[in-house]
Amino acid sequence: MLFKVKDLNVYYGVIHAVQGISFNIEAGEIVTLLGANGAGKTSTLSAISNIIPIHSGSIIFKDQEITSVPAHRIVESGIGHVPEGRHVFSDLTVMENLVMGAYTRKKRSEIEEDMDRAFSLFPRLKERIKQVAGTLSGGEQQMLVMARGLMSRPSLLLLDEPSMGLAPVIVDEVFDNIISINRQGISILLVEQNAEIALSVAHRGYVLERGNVVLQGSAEELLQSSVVQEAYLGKTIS
Amino acid sequence: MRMVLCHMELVIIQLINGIQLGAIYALMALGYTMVYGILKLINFAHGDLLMISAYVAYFLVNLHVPLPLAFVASMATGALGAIIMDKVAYKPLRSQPRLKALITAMGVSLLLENGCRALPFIGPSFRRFPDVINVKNFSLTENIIITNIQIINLVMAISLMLMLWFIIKKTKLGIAMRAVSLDPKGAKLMGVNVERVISATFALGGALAGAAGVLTAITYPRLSPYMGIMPGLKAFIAAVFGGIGSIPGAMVGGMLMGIIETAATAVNSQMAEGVFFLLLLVVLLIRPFGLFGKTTREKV
Repeated sequence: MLFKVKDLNVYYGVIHAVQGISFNIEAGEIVTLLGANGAGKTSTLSAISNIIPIHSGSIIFKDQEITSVPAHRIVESGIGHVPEGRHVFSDLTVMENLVMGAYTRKKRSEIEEDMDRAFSLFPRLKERIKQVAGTLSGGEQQMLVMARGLMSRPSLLLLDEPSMGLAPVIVDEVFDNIISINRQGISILLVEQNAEIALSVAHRGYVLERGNVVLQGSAEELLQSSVVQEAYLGKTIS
Repeated sequence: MRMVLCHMELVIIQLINGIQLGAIYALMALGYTMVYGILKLINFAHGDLLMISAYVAYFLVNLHVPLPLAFVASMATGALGAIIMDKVAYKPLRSQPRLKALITAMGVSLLLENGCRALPFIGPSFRRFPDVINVKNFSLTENIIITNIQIINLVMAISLMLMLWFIIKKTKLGIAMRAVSLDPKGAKLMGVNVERVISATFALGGALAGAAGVLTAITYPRLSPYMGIMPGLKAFIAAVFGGIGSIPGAMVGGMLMGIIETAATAVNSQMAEGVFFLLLLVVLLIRPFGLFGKTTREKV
């Protein structure tokens, strides 16, 4: 087991945002957390990266308890986090954003290697290497935050709503990239509101509602389930 | 023809004086703008770092420590002083409303000024900084003379600013400082120890204030516990003038402040500061975020 969350509880102010959820990720998997706004998806990711406090529960990564590891050390341990809303460092160039992604790394030659790898995955970023990130298009910004997330050489990548606010054709491109990243051996925890596209790339998934896991299973099972079909795919069961 | 030349010479003389004074303001303004950029805090006690560093140089020079060494020691004092200031006074208030830190900064300033005044080896009275540099005059033309102290001021200030520029633009620490000021949470997700970056920011600003302290002491060799107030205040205004949070803004704002103040003093010494404040008002009316400040925010 690469990664395991058990009985996680997170409070966001007075709101009990995550109410004792458990899930796990095997090495090499893409696992998706589905759910509407306010289901507790982003809170779960923020708790894993320890940028919001955990109330109770345990998070185990590579057989190590990481619940009390400070945020800046989580990255070093091998978890990359790509936040929602395309949070590029808007005044920094594409290059400087990638340098920030490699912040915890020391070896210059390895960093350059990874930059080349990122550019082969996202060739459009290479054309814009000296451009200030805030001036990129939405799709390019999403590619930049993903490339940046890879620069720490994570074994687990947390992706928060990569489809948010992007045109459908760009969404397809981004999700093709997600598969390519996974094929390089990086496990992925994918948080999405768009269940259809998420389940098209994921191996397994969990459905969250108001901070609880209400359903789990393989991508096929979830696609067939009435809960997902009615609530997230807009289909009515006849 | 002769009259025109005289006016020209007068302008150049005042320009040299203004740039020299402006260099000190620029060094100080950088400290304000960097801390503001990263914490959105106006560190009102920043001017007092200038004073403390000037006294450190004073004591060291009186102990016959060579001036360059005293200069380095003063910069180190400024850096260390700034870090301690942050850790003791501002860090406990990090998650509190900014107003509390702002009022605390004023408190720190008063504490340092009056604390130094109360210390037996500093005291309230003026002290004269020893003449460690023999003043030499270099005549550029018949009437335009520049002193070696002015040259030292300019060379030191400009080389320190270039060094800072390099750190901010080219080093990993500099990129991290800019990243933290744009998005602290995002920087944390990159593995940045944000508290350490904040300390480094205070240290850099403090070191520049330390340098400004020694440059002030060799140029205007009268030391008092309150000597940091006016340069601090003017540098703060220079930083706002240039666009607070902007590094080039602080450099240009500081220089302009020095030049305008000197020029206005030459015309009428009574209204020197008034002229600058008037200009500040005009600039802020036209560009509310200062000369180099951001006028628009990116879409989030």
